[in-house]
Amino acid sequence: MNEQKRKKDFITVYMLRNAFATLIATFFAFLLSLIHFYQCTFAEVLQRLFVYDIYTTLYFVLLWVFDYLIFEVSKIIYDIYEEKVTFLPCLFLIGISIGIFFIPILDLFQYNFCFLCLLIILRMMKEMWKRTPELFRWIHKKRPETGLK
Amino acid sequence: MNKEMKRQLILSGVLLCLLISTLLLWYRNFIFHTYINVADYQYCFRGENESLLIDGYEFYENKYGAENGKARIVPLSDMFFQKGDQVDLTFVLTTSQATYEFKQTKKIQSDNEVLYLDEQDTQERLSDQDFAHAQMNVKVMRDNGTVYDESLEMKKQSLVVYNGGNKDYTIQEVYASSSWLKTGLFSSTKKGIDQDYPTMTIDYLYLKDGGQEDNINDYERFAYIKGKTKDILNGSLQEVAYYDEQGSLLDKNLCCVITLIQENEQDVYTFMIDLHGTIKAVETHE
Repeated sequence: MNEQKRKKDFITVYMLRNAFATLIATFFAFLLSLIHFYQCTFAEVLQRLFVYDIYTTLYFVLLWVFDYLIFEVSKIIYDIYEEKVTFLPCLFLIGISIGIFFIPILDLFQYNFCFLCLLIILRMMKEMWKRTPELFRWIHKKRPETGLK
Repeated sequence: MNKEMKRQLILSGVLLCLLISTLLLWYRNFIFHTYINVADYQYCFRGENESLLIDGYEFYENKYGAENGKARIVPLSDMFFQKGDQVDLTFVLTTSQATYEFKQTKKIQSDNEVLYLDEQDTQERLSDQDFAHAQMNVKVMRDNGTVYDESLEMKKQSLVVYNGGNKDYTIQEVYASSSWLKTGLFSSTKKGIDQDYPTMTIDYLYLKDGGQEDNINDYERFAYIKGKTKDILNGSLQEVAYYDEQGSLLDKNLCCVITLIQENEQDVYTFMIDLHGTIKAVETHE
């Protein structure tokens, strides 16, 4: 019973952490895009984002929810292919995060996608370190003991 | 893949589809509201005493340069201005860093004339400055003597910027205070519109008290801009208008009627755009 409650608490903490991380990613994407467009200060970006126009704020929230969902989907997909995951998907994601800057879309989406890919890569690396440490044999001559079941 | 994962994946997929379609649907609206080419700065001052009302003294900067002036001066007492008077006007602007003076001299052409000041270049850099105090020194000279020499305190007006648009046409950067309006910038996604319709008119209307929003006859026209479509698209044609009725202009519903006219007036295309306001500057020096 206690174990179950602890697990639930952990899931809430993880979800909050992921939500916060994606919020920061979206915010920085908006920050860079607006500073680039208006050549303005951080304070003015905050105003433009949250005060001036409700449509901008709503779109920011929408994009954040979108980022969060993509992040969650990436977690599910990782869990499905857990044992088979190698560095290839990471390289693929790095490719996307660079390649996106060559696609003629709004720079906000370019920054956002880039940050999102980096977040997913970070999470993937962390999980790989924990679940499939044999992939990191080139770092550790000995298998690390932590994270093994 | 176990059942739980499948369920999560399907749910996420459905939610993602919904979100992507909303993001795409709102994209134009978002761009329109977020990435606006605003003027570098726009301020408007108003002041009055028992004899004079000065409204719409503006300072602005856009891609064509920095200007000030364009105010309207209304005498409130009979025969305040008489034919042949010389009026010296000095706008004194005190900021935390310096004091600036902007002088103009006008000759009165007829009795009780309503004066309109000219627009003049602003050499000083006024953006990002806090205005501590602003006043207008008015000196009226008649028959080699001074008949009036007073200062009016000028108050910085809260400006609201209005935008509006439909699928192909937008009106942006319509600045308005409670009694003043500066016409906005017109843009279109259609290429070659200035060739198809060489001339155009934009009428600014407000909804009369108790009027029906759907009924065009319940709107009052109070500003308009007419000229070559090319000039209007460039943003080189902008006018100011004054609202002299009771109440505040900002409480009214505003809209624009745009009329695109073909050469020889063969065909006329008219449509309406509602304007929506966003508060840009709220600080006043009161």
